[in-house]
Amino acid sequence: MIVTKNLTRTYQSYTKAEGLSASIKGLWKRNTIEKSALLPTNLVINQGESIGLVGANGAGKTTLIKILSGLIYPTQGEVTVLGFTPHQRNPEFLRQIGVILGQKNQLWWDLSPNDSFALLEKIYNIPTVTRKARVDELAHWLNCEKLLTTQIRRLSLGERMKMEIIGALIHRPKILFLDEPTIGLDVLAQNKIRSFLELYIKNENPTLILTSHYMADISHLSKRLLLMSQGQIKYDGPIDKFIQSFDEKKHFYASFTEPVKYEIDLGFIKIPYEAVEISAEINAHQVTQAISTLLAHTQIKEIKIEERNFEDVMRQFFESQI
Amino acid sequence: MIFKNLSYFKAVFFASLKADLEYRANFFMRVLIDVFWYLSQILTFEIIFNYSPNIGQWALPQMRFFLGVLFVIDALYTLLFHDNIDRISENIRKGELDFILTKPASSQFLISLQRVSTAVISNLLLSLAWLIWASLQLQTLTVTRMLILLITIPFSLLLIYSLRFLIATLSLIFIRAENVQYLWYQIYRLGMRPDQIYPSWLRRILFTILPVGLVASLPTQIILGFVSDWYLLLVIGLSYLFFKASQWFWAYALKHYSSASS
Repeated sequence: MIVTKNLTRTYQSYTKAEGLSASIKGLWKRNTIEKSALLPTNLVINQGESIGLVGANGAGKTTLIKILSGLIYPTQGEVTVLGFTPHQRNPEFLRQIGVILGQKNQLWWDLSPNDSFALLEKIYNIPTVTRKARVDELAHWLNCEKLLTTQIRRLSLGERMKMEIIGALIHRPKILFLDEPTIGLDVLAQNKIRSFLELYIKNENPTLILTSHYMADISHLSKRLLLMSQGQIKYDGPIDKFIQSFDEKKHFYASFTEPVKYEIDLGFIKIPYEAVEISAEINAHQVTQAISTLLAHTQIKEIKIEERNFEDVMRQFFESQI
Repeated sequence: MIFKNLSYFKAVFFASLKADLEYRANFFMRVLIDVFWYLSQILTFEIIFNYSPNIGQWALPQMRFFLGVLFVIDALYTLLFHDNIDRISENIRKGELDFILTKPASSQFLISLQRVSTAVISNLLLSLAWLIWASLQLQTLTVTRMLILLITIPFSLLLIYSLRFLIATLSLIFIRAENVQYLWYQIYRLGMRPDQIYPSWLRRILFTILPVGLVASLPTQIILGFVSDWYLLLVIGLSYLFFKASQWFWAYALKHYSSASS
């Protein structure tokens, strides 16, 4: 379905020294530098897989999505999507993909969504009856039937995103590229979009390539994680396995009925004199020892040991990559 | 394909009309501004001809006919392409081109006809009225000559579109190419006068490398019988060549497209 072999992309830019004289020199002489946005990447994605593409800004995830959707040319390597070379932009290929780009709009500002969908109907060559039925179906899932005749400019950001989603799914794409679909939305709107996408994936089983800075999007919507850093895929596998394999740390919290009478060394943290609570990261194998030490030396009020969530693990991963 | 494109164009036309009618003041202002532009063009020549009966081969009725041809072609260009091509640089900078490139249709077709400037319809009607009036004033126009006029207008439109699109495509490579657009307006202005007022070296340029002289000036001269009818082939041939060049250059420049950052 999607296969890449040694896929790379470099961008050219210019450097110049500081100051006006350097700017003037730069008019006729420039130092060209090449920046690798994507290092040789080999990837196989099968029909119906949901991929969460995660990485810090500049990690190369948007570049990868743009190459796979045919928006930009790769510098080297091979790529086939649904048997097509994406950047050749064969209409048959483009008819089978859908693209949602957060914070970019394809629908007309001054028209109602229904008017814009009528234009998309012509581009995708869909019969009007089929288009109307499809829009009604998607609007029902998104619970936004009443907004279909309101001008886009009168809608809230969350409502506009719902309409953009309908526009991107109107032709039943086999592959869906979602680049930050919930960016800028409030928590409520994020949840609604996320729930809809979960339902959509379950019902229509498209291949999904999703990038998002919200880890909740990734963990809810994708099963396979592609973790990118500095143009390379650093991890490719199930999300659960990543959390387990990356680190076994847990969050440890303890509070005491009375202040501790002397300093206690737990190995991973020193509890200072007169402390009434502690909170720290702990390795799984240290838990038993820590509890028995605390039982022996303090009056425990409460102990909480929490699994770290996906967001925590991702944060730690990104910090380790800087 | 043609049927599909026509069906899309019809949908864009009515969508544009709906959108344009949202802003009534803007709609009428646009009509008014263009009417003033036409009047200024007419008055320039009317005043000059007050002092001289001829400019080269051109007498006042012929000049009025030339302006009629120019107005009709310009109105058609403005109606269909002007705003869309002017917006290409912005489409690229804001990454809006992404949505066009992921659609199963010619990206050049879609970006060139994103909207129709429906306010210009009234200007087109005024231009046509002026052209018909100017044609009747000439009294020498035969049916054959009028037929040539009907042939040249679409090709002149194709030529002006192709030239403008070629220049706008530079934005794909340079991102900020607004200044090149100003260069286009200067060149286009040269095409708004009969070429015979220019020195011969400039006329050669205006008939070949930057053929704005072929937009209205040469077609008018063919119809008026100032030059041989064979020049019609030059208008048709160069229009086709420049259109093909615009397609080739667009496809080439898309390889440089890096899309806006998300």
